[in-house]
Amino acid sequence: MDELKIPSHAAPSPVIAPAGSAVDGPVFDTKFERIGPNEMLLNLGPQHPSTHGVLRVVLTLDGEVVTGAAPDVGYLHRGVEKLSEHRTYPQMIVLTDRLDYLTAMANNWVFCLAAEKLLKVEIPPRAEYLRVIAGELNRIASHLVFFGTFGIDIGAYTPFLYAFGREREKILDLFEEICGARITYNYIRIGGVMADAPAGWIDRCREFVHYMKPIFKEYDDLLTYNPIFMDRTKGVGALSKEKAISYGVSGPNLRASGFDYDLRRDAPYSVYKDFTFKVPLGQNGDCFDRFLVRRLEMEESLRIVEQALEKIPAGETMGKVPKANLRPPAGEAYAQIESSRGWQGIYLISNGTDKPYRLHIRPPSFINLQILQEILNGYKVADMIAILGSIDIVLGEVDR
Amino acid sequence: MTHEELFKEIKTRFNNVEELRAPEGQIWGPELQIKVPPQDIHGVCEHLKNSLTLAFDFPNFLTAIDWIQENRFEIVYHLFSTSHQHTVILKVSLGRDNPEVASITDVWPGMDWQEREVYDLFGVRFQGHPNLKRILLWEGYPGWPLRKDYVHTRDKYDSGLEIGLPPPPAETHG
Repeated sequence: MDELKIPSHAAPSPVIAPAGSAVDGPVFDTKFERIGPNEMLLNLGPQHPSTHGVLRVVLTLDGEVVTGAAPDVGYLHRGVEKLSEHRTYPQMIVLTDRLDYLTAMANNWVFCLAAEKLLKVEIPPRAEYLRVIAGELNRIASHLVFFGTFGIDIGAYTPFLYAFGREREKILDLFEEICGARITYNYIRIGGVMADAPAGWIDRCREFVHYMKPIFKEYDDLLTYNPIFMDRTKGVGALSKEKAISYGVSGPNLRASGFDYDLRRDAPYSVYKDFTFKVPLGQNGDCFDRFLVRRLEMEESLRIVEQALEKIPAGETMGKVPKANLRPPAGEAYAQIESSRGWQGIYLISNGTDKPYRLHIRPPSFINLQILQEILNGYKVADMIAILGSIDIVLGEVDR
Repeated sequence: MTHEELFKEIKTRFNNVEELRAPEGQIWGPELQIKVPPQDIHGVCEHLKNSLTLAFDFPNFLTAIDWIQENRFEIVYHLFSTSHQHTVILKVSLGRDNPEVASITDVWPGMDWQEREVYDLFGVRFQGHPNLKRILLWEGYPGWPLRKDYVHTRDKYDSGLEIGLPPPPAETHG
């Protein structure tokens, strides 16, 4: 009987599995005859609530200890990159909504940034501020989903009702007012934004910021400093800084491992230079740190929204872009932004026609998910759910 | 490090690399772009990662472009250095018939799935990849969808109007 192998670049796992279980051979091979003599094969997903969508993970187990994990992605593949070659630039924004559907604003934004780099169009300041407000509110909404679902993964159901059902709903109401949609916004357009904020919207945003500020204390009491929650997440699924970097992990996951880099601060795009905010960092890169970084980021995003609402200038919301027949000049552009999951990038090749010649999406979730096969080994199945939840993936963007 | 210094540093070790500049009338981003011959790519990548002055430790992304009119694929490596915070784009040209290039998963494990994705959608083979299998599509999928000469096989899911296909054959039951 052949034995299972871990990839050559896999480092020793933090908790050593019993001898004779973790062995060499491609860990991805899911055929039954490749399992070691003491091992069992567990198929997690694709229909499983704790995989946050249609992710399948094939686990080999020794008792309850994970000895190998092979994520299997692609169940939600819609061929967005191919579709883009048959869509005009404005039509393409609609498809980007469907990538990371919890942070659709960021997807709209990065696609428009790439197209604007080719078009060399100037964005009116009011549009930039509206983009920042929308983008940061969307980041809070996305982290609220993480906050709630991560609690469910660990076994705490109540925080979900607060974060998902109460606060996120208020943000979605604000979005509904400004662009008519709650999930797929199509709000940020090439050259600016779809429309100016309706009358009173800025004030309602201020009310929300005022309402949201004391809520985090409630969240911390509910979940963050809950002893059971801390026991389940501290020291679990630790990812070192060096390993995170060599895997191209970005965003909150990278910062949780202690690497201090945020595109909004260190390679600022849009008008992020105008705001002061802190970049929360973790130390150990374990599940708790990944959780805490996101929890603290929500507060910082709220600060940015508050400053943007203070400073927002009056004026146009759309730059000088042709209304029809948009043809960016030939060339290539790469734009990337700090989305709530990491570095969301668009690599755009134009040949001067009204459709992209080639469009590549740098998917932060897809790249972050690779570390799963690296950090799972040696943990119990229940911890595996916590680790998967803490990476915070969105399958719409993993599979594209 | 300026672009010139960066390029010189690489050029001293690998004589065959060339700096790419935007052709007349095209707009390119500000990143330094380097054309690397296919046989050198693994060595260049190892040097880029291990040299202390370059230290490209962060594999940002990898993708491919099908330049069908020039009968070549272009593999694009976008690399970033977390210590020096500089960026470089490497480009490797491969012939469209039987495209193969050395895998760099042993340099940056983060390129693993991305190489599989390029294999899956373009049919470019990465020699030395530990597990070169399709990742987004299923094994046995006909063709390589992101190639420009890919012909979509009509199935029951598409209306076909948007890509100009003839109407579907009448469904037969039984």
